[in-house]
Formats: sequence, C-alpha cells, structure tokens
Amino acid sequence: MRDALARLPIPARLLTALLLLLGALVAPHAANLNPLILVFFYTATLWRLIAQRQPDVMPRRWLLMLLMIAAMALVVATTGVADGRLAGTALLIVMLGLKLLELRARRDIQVAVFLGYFLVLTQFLYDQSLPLAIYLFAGVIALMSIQVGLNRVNLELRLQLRNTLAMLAGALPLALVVFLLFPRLSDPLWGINASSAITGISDEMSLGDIGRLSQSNETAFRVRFFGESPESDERYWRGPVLWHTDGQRWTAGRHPVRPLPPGPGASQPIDYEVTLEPTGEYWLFGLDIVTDKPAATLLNSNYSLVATQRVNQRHTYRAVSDTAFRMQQLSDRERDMALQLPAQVSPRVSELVDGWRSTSDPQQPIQVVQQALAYFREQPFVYTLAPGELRGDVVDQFLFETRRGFCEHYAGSFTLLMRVAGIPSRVVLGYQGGEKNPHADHWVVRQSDAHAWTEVWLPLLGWWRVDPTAAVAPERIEQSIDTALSQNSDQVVFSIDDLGVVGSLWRNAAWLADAVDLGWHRWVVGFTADRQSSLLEMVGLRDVKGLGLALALTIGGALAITLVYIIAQLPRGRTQDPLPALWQTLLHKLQRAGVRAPPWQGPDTICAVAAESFPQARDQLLAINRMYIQLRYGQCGNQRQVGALRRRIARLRLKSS
Amino acid sequence: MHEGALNSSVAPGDGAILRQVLEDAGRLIVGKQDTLRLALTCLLAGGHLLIEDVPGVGKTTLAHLLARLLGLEFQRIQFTADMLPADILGVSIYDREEGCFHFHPGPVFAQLVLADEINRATPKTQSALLEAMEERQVTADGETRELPEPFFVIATQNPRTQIGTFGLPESQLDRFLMRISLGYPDADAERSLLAGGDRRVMLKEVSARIDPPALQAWQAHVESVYVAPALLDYVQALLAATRASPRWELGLSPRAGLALLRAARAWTMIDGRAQVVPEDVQAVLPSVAGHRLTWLDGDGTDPIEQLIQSVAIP
Repeated sequence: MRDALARLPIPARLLTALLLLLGALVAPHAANLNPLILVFFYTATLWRLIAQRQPDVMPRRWLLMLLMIAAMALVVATTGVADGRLAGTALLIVMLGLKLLELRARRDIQVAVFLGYFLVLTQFLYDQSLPLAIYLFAGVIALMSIQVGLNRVNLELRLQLRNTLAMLAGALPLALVVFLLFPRLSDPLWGINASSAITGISDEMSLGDIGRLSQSNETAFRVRFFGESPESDERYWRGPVLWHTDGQRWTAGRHPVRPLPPGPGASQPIDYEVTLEPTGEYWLFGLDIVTDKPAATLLNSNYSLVATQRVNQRHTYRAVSDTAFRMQQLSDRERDMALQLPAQVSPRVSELVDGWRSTSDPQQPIQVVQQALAYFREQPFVYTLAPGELRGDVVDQFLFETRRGFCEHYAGSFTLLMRVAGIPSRVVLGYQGGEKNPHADHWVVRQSDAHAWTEVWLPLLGWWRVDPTAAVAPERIEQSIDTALSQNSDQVVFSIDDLGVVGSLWRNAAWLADAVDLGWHRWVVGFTADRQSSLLEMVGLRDVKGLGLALALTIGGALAITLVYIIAQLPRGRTQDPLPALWQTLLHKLQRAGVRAPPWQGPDTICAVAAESFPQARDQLLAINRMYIQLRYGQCGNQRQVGALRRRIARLRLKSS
Repeated sequence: MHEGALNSSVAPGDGAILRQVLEDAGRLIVGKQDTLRLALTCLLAGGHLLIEDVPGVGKTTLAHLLARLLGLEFQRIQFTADMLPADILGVSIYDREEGCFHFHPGPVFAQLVLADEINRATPKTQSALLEAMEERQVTADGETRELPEPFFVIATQNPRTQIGTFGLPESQLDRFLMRISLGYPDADAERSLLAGGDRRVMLKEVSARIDPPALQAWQAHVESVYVAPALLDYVQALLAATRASPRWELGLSPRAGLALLRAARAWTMIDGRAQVVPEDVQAVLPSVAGHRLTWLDGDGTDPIEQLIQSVAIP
C-alpha cells in the first residue's frame, strides 16, 4: 500500500518547483567549484524540465550509465581527489543532476529533496556568512514545503507554507537545545579552508613603489571593550615590528623573536575581545601594549601577538592591554639591529640630522626626536594617499622634494632619521583608530585604518611610540579616513558628518548590518566549546562534559518536545475557520449596498434577496452562495476553494441598476 | 399502477422522485405545497404526523393521498368517546370449532393509519394508540405482535370543538414528530378546487410513485444527509434560546433537537441536496417545535418566527 503510494505520479507543479529550487540551491557553489560541474548539473536540470513536457526525452538506463561514468570522470578531472571536500561536493552535485534524470515517481522526489538538504549542508563547508545562511534557510523552507505538498493533495500554496512554518516552529525548541548542548569541537568542522586573496597588513613595507594607495572600507577586526574604551589617540593596534631596512624596504629582519616571559601585569588594564577577519597570516592585533595574552597565542619579544596557526577564518580572542605600559628591555643585539642603516645615506639627510644633533644635548636624545617632529610639522609636508611613485633614494626625495606621502612614508623616513642620529628605532605596523558602531557596543577597525608608526628607544623611558604622521596630519589620528570620498581625489577627506539623508540612512544601514554580522559570528558560527562551557557556567553547570552533557542534552530535549506538545494541544480559537469572517465581509458589502441582511437569515435567503436587488450581479451572488454553502455546510470543501471564494467576494461589485 | 412508476432503488442525493410525489399531491390539494412537503418530510423522517385543523379542509384527503402515492396500505380509525383500546388494537376471539383463541388484528395493523379526531377518545384509548406508535408493536393477551413496516400514524384533531374531548397532553404530543395545519386555501386555489372534480374519484386515479421498500430506503438515506458542525452549532443555539427565554414555559428537550435535525435532513433530501443549510432548519422548525412549546404570552406575532429571528446564524 505504501509502496503503491510512493509510485504515484508526481504533480507537475511540484516537480517544476523542485527543479528550480535545486537550481537555486546549487548556484552559490559557483564560487567554489569548477564551472564544468555546474554546467553538468544545470544541463541535467534543463533536460528534466524539457522532459516534463515531452516524456520521451527522458534518458534510458544505458544512457544514464554512460552519463554516470562521464560524471565521475568529470569530477576526477576537474577537482581531483586530493581535496575531499571539493571532490565530495562535486560528486554530490553531479549525482543529484543524474537523479533528476531518473525522476519518475514520488519516491524519487523524496530522494531528490533529501539530497537537496545535504546540498544545503555542503555550502557551509565553504562559507558561513549570514546572508548565505538566510538564503539557504529559505531554501530549506521551500524544500520542506515541497515535501508537505507531496503528502497533501491540492493544498493551497499559502497553507502549504503555513504547514511548513508550523512544523519548523515545532522543531525550533529542540534544535535550540541541541545547538546549545551538543558537544562541540574546539574548532569548527569546516575549518579547513585556505582562503585566497585576503587583503590586510603584510609583514613588510616598501616606500615609494605605490603611487596611489587604494584603501578598502572592509572590516579588519571588531573590538568589544569590557569597560572603558581608550581615547582615539591611544587606539594603536599593534601588529608586526620591522627592524631591517635597505633604504626603501622595511622587513622584520633576522631578529630572533622569542616568546616573552610573563610580565609584571598591567597597572591600568583594558580588557577587550577582538574578532579578527581572516588574514591568512599569523599576526593578531592587540591594543598597544598587550600585557595579558589570549590563550593559545604567543606574545613575542616585540610585544606582537602571534597565533599558533594562520588566521584563515574569523578568529575571536580576548586580551588585556595597558596603554601606559613601557617596554624597557634592549639587548645589545637589538640595539645593533635598531641602529642598522642602509648601505647609503644621502648627504642631505646626514646634514639635516647633524644640524639637529649640534643644537641639542647629547645626553637628551629626546631633543633630537622633538626637532625631527618639528621639522615634519613646520616644513610643507602633505598627507595624501596618492603621493606618486618615487625612484632612487626614496627617503631623500621624500624629505626634500615631494614631501607628499602617507603613514608609511613618514614612519619609514622618521625611523631612518632617528637611526642616523644614533637613536635606536624601529617601525611598527598595525591599525590606528576605529569607529564605534552606534547600534552595538563594539568598535570596527577597517583596512583603511591600517597604519605605521615609529618606536624609538630612549634611556630611562624605554621604547617610546612616536607617530610622525600625527605631526603632519593630526586629524588622521583623531578621525577615520572616509575612503569612499577620498578614493578618487588627491585630497584626503576625513569623516564628514553631513552626508544628507540618503547618505546617513545608508551609513546607518551599514552599521546595523555590521552589528548583525558580529552577532551572527559571536552566537552562531563562533559558538565553540569555550563559549559553550562559559554559557553552561552562567546557568550554574560548571565543568559539564561527556556524560553530564549527554544528560543535559537528553533532559533539555525532552523538555523542548514536551513544550511543543503542550503548545500543539492548546485549543485553537474558532477564528481558525476563515469562513465566518469571509461571510461577514460579504454581509458588510451587501449592507453598504442597501440590502437588509439580518444575522438570523441563512445564506440562501440573503443571496436570493440580494440577487433580486442587483439582477446584474445575480450570477455572481448565486455562485458565492453555492461555494459558501459547500464550504461551510458541505462535507468536502478544500482550502483552494476558500481562496476562490475570497477572490469572488472581493471582486463582487454591487451597483444599483 | 404502472410498473415504470415504481422506483425501489434510491439514487443518493437525487430527490427527483420525491418531488414527483409532491407534484402529484399538489394536483389534488391545491396551493398547499409547503404543507404537503412538510407532511412528506415527516413520513420520510419516520415520524408520526398530527394535523390540527377545522373539518373539511382536506385532512383525510391528505392522508389518503399520501398512502396512495407511497403505495402504503391504508386504514382509517374514527375516534369516538366510547371507543376502547381493543377497537384499535384488535381482539382475540374464541373459536369454538378449533377450541382456541384467534387474534383478530385491529385497524392499527396497517402501514398508514389515519387516526381521525383523536381527541374525541378517552385517554385510555389514546394511550393504546400512542404506545403502538412509539413501540411499533402491539401487545394483547400476553402476546406481542409486530406492526407492519413502514408504519405511520397521521392523527387529526379539531381545536375548535373542545366540549367532550380529551386534548392530548404535552407528553403525548411529543410522540408526533410534526404538527401541521392545512388552513383554508387561498382564493385562487379554492376556485380551482371548486372547479375541479370530486376528490374521491380523483384519489382513485392516483397511482403509487414509490413502493414501501423504496420508501424505507429513502428513510435510511435521510441519515446520510450531511450536517456540518456549523449547522449543529445553529441547532444548538436555537434549542438554547428556547430554554433561556422567559417567553416559553419549558425549553425544547434534547429529543426535540434530534427530531428537528432529522426533519431538517429529510426536508433537505427532497431537494436532492447533500447538506443541510440553516434555511432547512428554519423551514421545519415551526412544525417540529410548535406543539412541543408552550408560550406564556404573545404580542400577536408568531412565537416560532420570533424565535428564529432572535437567533443569529453562527
């Protein structure tokens, strides 16, 4: 009997819907898979769509076998078998295409729908962003409603969706319990992808070969402060430190970077949590200077945070910093490196530095630093993102001729000047600034906030941060660059508040999206074992693991199912039946048209009276009456007819003749 | 009787043959279509009918006519004050030759019994008939005898002549599914009646449209007419209204509710419709509820009509 049901023919409407839906669900894989795989799948889908009109084009069994062999060969040839994830996904998609070609009975549709669910799952192996998740969730709803349609005859689409949503709502509590309590891997299952083409800070810097800095508005990382957030001129986010220069390029150099032994701790700790976008590098960024490193990371002797593996997906870590902290140590080797000079230093540079040294106390190197800063401030230096390319002795040209540049130019040449003056110095890369999301409690640091500054070592003071860019363009430090506006002009435009209505609406929407995105990461994608245990701790379940978690899961699941059962058993209001309301609509309509329709009169009587008053609407009225009686008092009315009745009543026009 | 006119099989949902019966009846009893239909409804619902009217408006003709149209065996009992139960039920008479008693069935042993002027007989005699109506069997001399199937009683009573009569008490009235009255015909109908031939002669010419087995099949079919929950709500609201209102001495009983529903189903079936609508209930309500309700005072309007107008259709 069940078998006979499974062999029933497929309603055409459902099949078309399924084919289109599967096509839409495969589409996002275009970003991951070889186009040939997708071409194969869409050809099969199209073939099946045509076969719906002309059943004789359905492929025969031997042809299907041939196609299957071809599909296997295609998968091996295009994706290989090395990347199990890619090969598996490709195989699933070509097999789904083949399944469509042998789709003949209801049973086959069930199989195709389940493959569709599996297909949805595979998307998350590549991308876990919120927009894709929403798209795929809509796909799951559609898949489910196709299943509903498969099991209910002639259900109105609206009700088909309502049934589906009701079922999903019923599944929600259990899903939530399983999500919260199911034992977690410390890394997501899908954390195997090596992302390509990631923008961000690299660990070297080169002056002069970038004529125009194209900065992106993309988020670099987001920060939540637990407590007070630091002032804007304190928000330096420390990244890699560069020691070695050849006059143009700055690199980390052959400096043996050791992990730092635990320090004395912070006097004014700032506690915060960073969610770093994937960079493909090891660098993590911490507020200058990190005193308490996150778990599973290193804090090296440069006070830079380093991850134990490349950051290929969003990474959330919590750290403590102290902006007043001073780095004191300077080993002999470090002193040598911090005084390293390129092979050639131009005479004009030496002359300039000699001038400063002659007018200052040799015991007070800070006076040289101040004179250098004064030089940048007083000479006509311009902060620009399009300084033009420099050739030859880059620092010389910049300092004495073009005097146009961005942070890298200032930090690089300033550090060089200090070294010429005999002051140990180095370049630090990182980010500066950040903007607070007005709709959430976190700050956003963008790629356009990338920055470079100098650290000089002064006796007694230790390493001391000097930002020559701030001497030239103090507003760079106080405000963010509005990259959208400064992209195409020579002029650097800092944040502007009067953007007009559309602009501020757009900006608001962008901030909201940012807040939602971070929430999605914090609570869904980034819900790791750590977060799970801290959540369990919050409800008083400390150190629940293994059996305890299984027990909690069982109890929670039972409670969720009970809850849904109780809600399902609650008596429904009689308003569930749409017919009385529909009838009232008609009565109001008739009464407005002047027909007396007392509540004690039955539909037959009322419609007969109305038909007498409005002979031209007679047929319509009789049809409405017939349908209403069939639905309200008849034995077998279906929901499709309710829709038809609703439309008829809506279309009814009563004009006095 | 034409063979072709007989129809033993029932085509569900199609009451054409029943409407044919009504049409035939309308030729003899002119201008009383609704009353005729109510009478037929009552019989189809398996109930007994009480006709309350002045003499000479066609009560007897109606009963006789229905018997002929439905092919039923007909007996008439004229009730009188000196009548005894045995006059209705039958007596056992000693047969001297065979040396034993033989039961001689009374006039109640017929498919359609017309109990004329039932209120003239004594309560004892009335009770004998009413018990037979309820039980559909007769017990005499310790022996129980089944009445024929189908079995209908059409009783008449004259409301005007109250002297020397015994009016049926409410509990007895409840045995009748419906009470109807024919009333005087309107002018047109009366003129054609006067112009027409002798009803007795015409009655003889009437042939049966259906036979008793077909009638029983139709009776069984009544149950299959669909009553939607919405309609049950309406019937319940009507019953509740009679109980809540101070106008009525007593509200309608659940039995009356069942009777109402059954009558409405039969009424619907004559139309050939598959489901009962509120209008069907409203059509049978006066004749089903009228004799079961006693209203305390009236302002001249028909109390049942007022009842209908006081209950909104849910």
